[in-house]
Amino acid sequence: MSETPWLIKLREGDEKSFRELVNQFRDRVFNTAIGILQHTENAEDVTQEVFVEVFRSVARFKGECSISTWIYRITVQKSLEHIRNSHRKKRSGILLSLFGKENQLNISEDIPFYHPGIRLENKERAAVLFSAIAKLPPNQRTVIILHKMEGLSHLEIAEIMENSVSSVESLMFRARQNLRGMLSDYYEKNEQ
Amino acid sequence: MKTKEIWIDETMDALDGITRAESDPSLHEKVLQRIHQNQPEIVRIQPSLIFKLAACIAILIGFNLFILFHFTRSSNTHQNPEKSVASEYFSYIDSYNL
Repeated sequence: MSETPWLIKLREGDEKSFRELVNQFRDRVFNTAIGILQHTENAEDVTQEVFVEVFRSVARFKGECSISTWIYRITVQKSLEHIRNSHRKKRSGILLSLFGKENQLNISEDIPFYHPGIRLENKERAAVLFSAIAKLPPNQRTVIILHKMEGLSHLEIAEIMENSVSSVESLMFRARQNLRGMLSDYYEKNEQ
Repeated sequence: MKTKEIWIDETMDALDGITRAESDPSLHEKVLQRIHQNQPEIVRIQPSLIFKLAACIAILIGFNLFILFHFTRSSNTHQNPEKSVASEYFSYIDSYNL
């Protein structure tokens, strides 16, 4: 499908075009969000926010990148924003707990995450890997998820993150080093 | 050590062959609902937090009013001796037609 006529219709608020866009990108957005957030409800919430944002800001989109790059970019931004907000709520929750009231939070730290698309024989190890990914800094977490879960190339990831390819390669290298270190510690504590 | 490295390698590859998670089939309807309700984001505020904030503000305002009232009364008391002397002079003037 040629992007330009589609974009024109989207800017006009054509609902049929918007539905087609949602159907085409829904699983990519959800899969990326669930990889970063490791929580199904939060990922569903973020997925909706992404498409609301797409609807609202399509008029400002000038086509400087492909629609898929643009949507992935919004997905990553919204997902990381959700994590920052969760951490902020966690800190205020600690303060509120001093007054005897605790917030219900959706932070998935240290809770095993089982992705629905993992092969059965890999489920347990994947859960361990996801726990380690959750502890990576945001940029490293993003490149790992986009590469491993969405199968994107370094060039595509660089366009999404508005970085150079060498920056992405550097992030990937450091992410793998950090993951291997965490897995090594896990092995020492649990697998021996 | 070799076993550990093999375990790490295999775990690093645990996402190989992963299939995409499928989103909610009613996603489009939910998105349209949000757009039409003009719902930017979900913000949850505990009612107890609102009550506590309101109580703090009420206490602060009450305290400030108390201080202001007390200060005003104290100022009037200090000014009274002068006023009473002045009114005494005027009463002498009136009494003796000075």
